[in-house]
Amino acid sequence: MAKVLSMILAGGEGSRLYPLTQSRTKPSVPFGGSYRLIDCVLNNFVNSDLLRIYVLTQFKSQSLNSHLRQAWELNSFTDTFIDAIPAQMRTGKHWYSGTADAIYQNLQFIEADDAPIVCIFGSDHIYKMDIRQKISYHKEKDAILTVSAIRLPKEQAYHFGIIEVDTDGRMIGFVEKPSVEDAKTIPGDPDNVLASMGNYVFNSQELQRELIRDAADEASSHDFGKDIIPHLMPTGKVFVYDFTTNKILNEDGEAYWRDVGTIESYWEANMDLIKSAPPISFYNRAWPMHTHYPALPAANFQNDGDITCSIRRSLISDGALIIGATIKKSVLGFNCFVGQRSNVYKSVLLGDTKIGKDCEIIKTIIDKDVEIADGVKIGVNLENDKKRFTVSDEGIVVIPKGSRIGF
Amino acid sequence: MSGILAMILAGGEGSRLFPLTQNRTKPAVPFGGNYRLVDFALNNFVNADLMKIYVLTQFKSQSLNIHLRRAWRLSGISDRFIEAIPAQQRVNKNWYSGTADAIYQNYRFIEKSKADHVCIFGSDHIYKMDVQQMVDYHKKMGGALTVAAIRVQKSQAHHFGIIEINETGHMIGFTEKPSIEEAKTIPGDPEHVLASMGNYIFKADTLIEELEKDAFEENSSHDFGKDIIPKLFPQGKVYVYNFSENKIPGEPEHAYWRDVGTIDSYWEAHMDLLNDDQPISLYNKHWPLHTYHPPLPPATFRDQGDSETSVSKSHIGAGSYINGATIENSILGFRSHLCTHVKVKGCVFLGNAKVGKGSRLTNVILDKNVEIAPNTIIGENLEEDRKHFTVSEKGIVVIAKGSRVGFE
Repeated sequence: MAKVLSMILAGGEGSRLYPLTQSRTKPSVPFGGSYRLIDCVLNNFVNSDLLRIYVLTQFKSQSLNSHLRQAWELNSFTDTFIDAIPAQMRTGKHWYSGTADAIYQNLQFIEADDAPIVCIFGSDHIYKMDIRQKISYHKEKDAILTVSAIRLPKEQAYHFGIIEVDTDGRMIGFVEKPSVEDAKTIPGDPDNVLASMGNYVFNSQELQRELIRDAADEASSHDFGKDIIPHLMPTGKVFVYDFTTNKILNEDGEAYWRDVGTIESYWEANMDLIKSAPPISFYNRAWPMHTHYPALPAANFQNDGDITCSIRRSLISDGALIIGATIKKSVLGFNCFVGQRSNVYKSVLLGDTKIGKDCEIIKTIIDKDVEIADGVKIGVNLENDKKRFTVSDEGIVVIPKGSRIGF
Repeated sequence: MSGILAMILAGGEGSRLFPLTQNRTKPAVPFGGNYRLVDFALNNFVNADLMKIYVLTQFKSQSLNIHLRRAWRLSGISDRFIEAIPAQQRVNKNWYSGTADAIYQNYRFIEKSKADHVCIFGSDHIYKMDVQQMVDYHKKMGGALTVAAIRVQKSQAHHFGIIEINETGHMIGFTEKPSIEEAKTIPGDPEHVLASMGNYIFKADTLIEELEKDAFEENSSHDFGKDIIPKLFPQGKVYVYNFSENKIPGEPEHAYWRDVGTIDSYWEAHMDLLNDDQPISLYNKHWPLHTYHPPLPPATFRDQGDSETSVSKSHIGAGSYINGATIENSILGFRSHLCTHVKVKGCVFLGNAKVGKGSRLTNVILDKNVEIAPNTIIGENLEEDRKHFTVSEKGIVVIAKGSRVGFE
């Protein structure tokens, strides 16, 4: 495989995930007990043996930087690296104005590199992709740009950027969030559409040329989806890679790809992990999910007198101490304490959480470093909860980082 | 603190831990779900900010080497290091004949380090010690050698090397495993004796001098306890560091130190972790226990139909998959997979185990990569178990690494 340089866009503010993004950038939001959102895309590259990666950061990136250092530092004497690049005013005193501008401001890292292929990926989706397969497709098609897309039922078209393709896989149209009627279906598959995943494989030369052209265009919003792709599409050299054709060893379920941009979708993606037939799991030995593991012992379960812990359909991370409590359909991050007789149901605990005795926690997302006093009930009376916390339209309560509740 | 070098003896064969040591040296034996025995000694140095460490290996060390590389490699910028030194015939063609010989064969590394003091520690005990406090004591007393010792009940004396001290803390006698009557108690404390922990801090020049002398001594067994120390203490140069004086924030009042040299003591140390009084806990934010953590998701609990999961007094490692099982007083390491209606009690799983549905395991140690067929019962009929497995004096059944049990 030819040399590949990868740029990961990790500057997202994630305002719809507020308050989880109050003190951290979106890619740094914890997920699935042990992980951060950015771990998915990084594992996709690392497990694809593509180890030359720049991570472009901008918004509240300290937490992300620590995570990258702790989990993803390559101790390497070869030319492999995973390096964070903060926004640093390389082209003027302004922040990134769009995805293309973020790459343009760091163009010199691409120019200085002799890799003929540049991958540009987002970092806030949950999925597994063997990126080598996408690059092979890109070469096979002799494309300038290959865009990843996922096959979705036509009815969901209005949530996504929908790509129109010809029978050869060539991109011939793109509409952002079209109505169901307007959405162009896949040739030969009238029930499904192709939604852009925001992941691009470019030939380096053409990418550089386009970015320079776009930067000088005052009318441009400097965005790949809105500006660069529509400009390149008429060349006939933009191809679409169907994510459903991507195969990972030991995995044969339907392709899984989730945007976790809202509190609801974030909560649901966590719940997906504990379904009885989970649509995604992080167990595959052929696709290990690397992350940072703090120095903690295995999860510890103790009795409350004769009462044992009852655990159903849950994930429980290292450092937990559960004392005679009931945990159902929940995801517990590192270092969670749940006291005697407490009941945690359909909740997501991001870690370093302390829940006292006799608590009732239902359908609640608890950010890190939260302490909840004995006897507190959350998610039981939403009217009440709305006075104190963020409650999503679907009734998911979010407790912000560092809260002390009921003291 | 550049003047302190640590040499960790990690060559132990651990024959009394067989079959856990069939494929690996004793310090590499997994412990407490996430750890290896050697992690305890290494954390004692690293958490004390003493990070010039050689680990001396010899016996079946591949598993240990992999662990050191994955968990304990320091980045190269500073002068800190944690490095394995395999036995490599530096002095002659022999394997290490004793603890002192192991250091003698590597004395060039001590000279090269220009350290003022050398810590020589074992690696197969479970305990937490802020080694810096012992270093401070050693420097304060100004002796040639300081030996760490733990206060134990006089009635336990026959298990240990017992040190006699005077009021000034000088070592004035040493007896290997004395009878209770002969054991010399601590001055002013007639109920207790001081047992050597096998941990030494030497002045570097004294150490090299003594090792060279000892190397040419034909009658010597080249052992610190038997040969070097008995020569040094009559000269009034050896001090004893009382481990009970070592204080770590967040740790219980009574110092914990366990030899896990036999199957029974290894199993009992695990049960200590589950004891309500918690004589030792693996959790203390002031004393993090570093180790290698494989890329695994959190322990996953599912339920299938009528099989619910109930857990009491247990630890469950990452990557475990509990499918409606009853877990009692057990420590399950990484990737423990229990199918429906499984019951485990008093068990220690070293990792990557699969137990088929309906099986019942009582007081069983499962080494890594074991698969148990459905409806298998182990630990309830020891006569029967003895025909297939190692069974300890106290009735702990050990299933060897890679076994497949109960299949046709």
